[in-house]
Amino acid sequence: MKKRKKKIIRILDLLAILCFIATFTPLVTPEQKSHPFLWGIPYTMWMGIVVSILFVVLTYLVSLINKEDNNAD
Amino acid sequence: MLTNFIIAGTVYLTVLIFLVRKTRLKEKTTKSYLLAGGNIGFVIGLFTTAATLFSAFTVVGMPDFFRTHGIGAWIFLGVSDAMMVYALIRIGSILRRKARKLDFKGMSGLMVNTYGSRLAGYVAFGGAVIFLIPYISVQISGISIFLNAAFPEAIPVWSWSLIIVAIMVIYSETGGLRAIMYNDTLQGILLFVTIWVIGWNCIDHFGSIESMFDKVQSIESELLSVPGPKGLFTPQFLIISAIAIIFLPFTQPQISTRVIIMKSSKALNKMAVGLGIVATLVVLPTMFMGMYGAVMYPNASTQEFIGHVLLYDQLPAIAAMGLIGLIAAAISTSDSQIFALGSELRSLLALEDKKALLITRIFIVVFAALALIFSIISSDHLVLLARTSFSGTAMMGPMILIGLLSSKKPSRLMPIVTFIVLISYILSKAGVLPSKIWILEIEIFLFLCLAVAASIEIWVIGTIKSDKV
Repeated sequence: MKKRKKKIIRILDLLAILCFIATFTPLVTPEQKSHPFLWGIPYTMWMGIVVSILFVVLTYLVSLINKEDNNAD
Repeated sequence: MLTNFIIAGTVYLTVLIFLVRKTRLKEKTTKSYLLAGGNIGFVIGLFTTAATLFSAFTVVGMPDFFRTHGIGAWIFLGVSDAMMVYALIRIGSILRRKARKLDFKGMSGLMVNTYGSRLAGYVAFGGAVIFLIPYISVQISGISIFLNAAFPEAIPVWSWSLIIVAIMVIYSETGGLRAIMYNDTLQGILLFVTIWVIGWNCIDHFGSIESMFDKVQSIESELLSVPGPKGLFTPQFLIISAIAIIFLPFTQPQISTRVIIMKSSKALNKMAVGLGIVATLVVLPTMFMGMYGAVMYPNASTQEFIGHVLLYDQLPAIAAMGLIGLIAAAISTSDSQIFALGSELRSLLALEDKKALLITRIFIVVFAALALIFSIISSDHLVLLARTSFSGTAMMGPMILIGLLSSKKPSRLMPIVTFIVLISYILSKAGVLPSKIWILEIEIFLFLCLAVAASIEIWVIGTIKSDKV
């Protein structure tokens, strides 16, 4: 159980690192490119919102894994 | 508008006084006064951390950043804040565990205990003082100048600064961290409501988000992509900012204290997720305000633009709320930072509790006075100074993380390298050292130096076990 938890955390960390790297590449922040628009929102803006939401979701998933871990208390 | 402001200000002060009375401490100890009893629930924890995090730089600086440099400002703060909450939840529980084991009083004291060297504590304390006081000052001065511009006939700029600092000192001295947290909660809610009402009015002006961006594109299309019209948001700039913000929960003592004194890991987990949501929701309306400014006031100064978006283009009642929200944003961050500097000092004092606490309380007033003096003489480049403050404190991040994650006492390598890096950064900001090394910004170069030192500490000296995190 503990091993499985650790494995999931490692996967979440890896996803967080990939999101971090992607943010500073043309995938999220292409230079001088505002297309394609999504609901009228320019590309970097809506991709930025997606990245923010992804990080909040990753944080939530870590909180679920940590739920039963009360070592710090 | 002055009448509305006086009414709103009176209501705001009445609630503050009520909260100060409610949280007043008769018997002051380090635990009750500096650490709020170490028993903070999710709701108070969330709002106090959010209010501490979002300062005047969010309300004044971010709309202006969006207006001047475009939507890359979302990556600069919105995305970086979301990354920060992930770091908070991952390292937060380790920080709490270590803090409880080593009788936490402040991060500087914790570093002395983990490294077994006073140098680590002095570096952490010195870094906090050097990089936080100018940031506190620039917030106070920014708000005071703004209030003076709004009511030129009322009182001089320095008097506004004095009133703001006096309010902070009175309730900090009376109720300690608990009073600050309750006031932060009030101020956090006020800031959140105000910023959304004004942001909503800005969208309403255009009719929809789509027509807002259409209009911005017709005026200055470069605002809708990076690096923005002035070329500010380069990958290097955004990476440095992200690293600086990710490290905030461990390098800025006012935030790390809040992480540690949450009553349980469950409350911390909920707080981290809540903070991610609140951060996104706080930065979003500043984008609406900025885009509104890009269309309506593209060539105005920061003061003029903020004056219009917060005051003159709003209904009088909302304008009064905007002013109070602005004051609340500045106070809620500055009070926590000044108080945290006091806690950091306390953690380095090996004296009887009563005596140490008395010295700490005196120094809280001294730090507040220093901030007041600097606020009278400082400039108003709010966002860039905030970023310098974040980057400076972030340079202590690797040292703090090694200290937290170490399974045995680390060597003095990290404190020594961090000390050299901090001095180099200050010299670079003062123009003595270059701001670029080859193609690298000085911050990236210094972070790389710290990364090399941290790698030597981990893999050559072998301080951290691989299964620690």
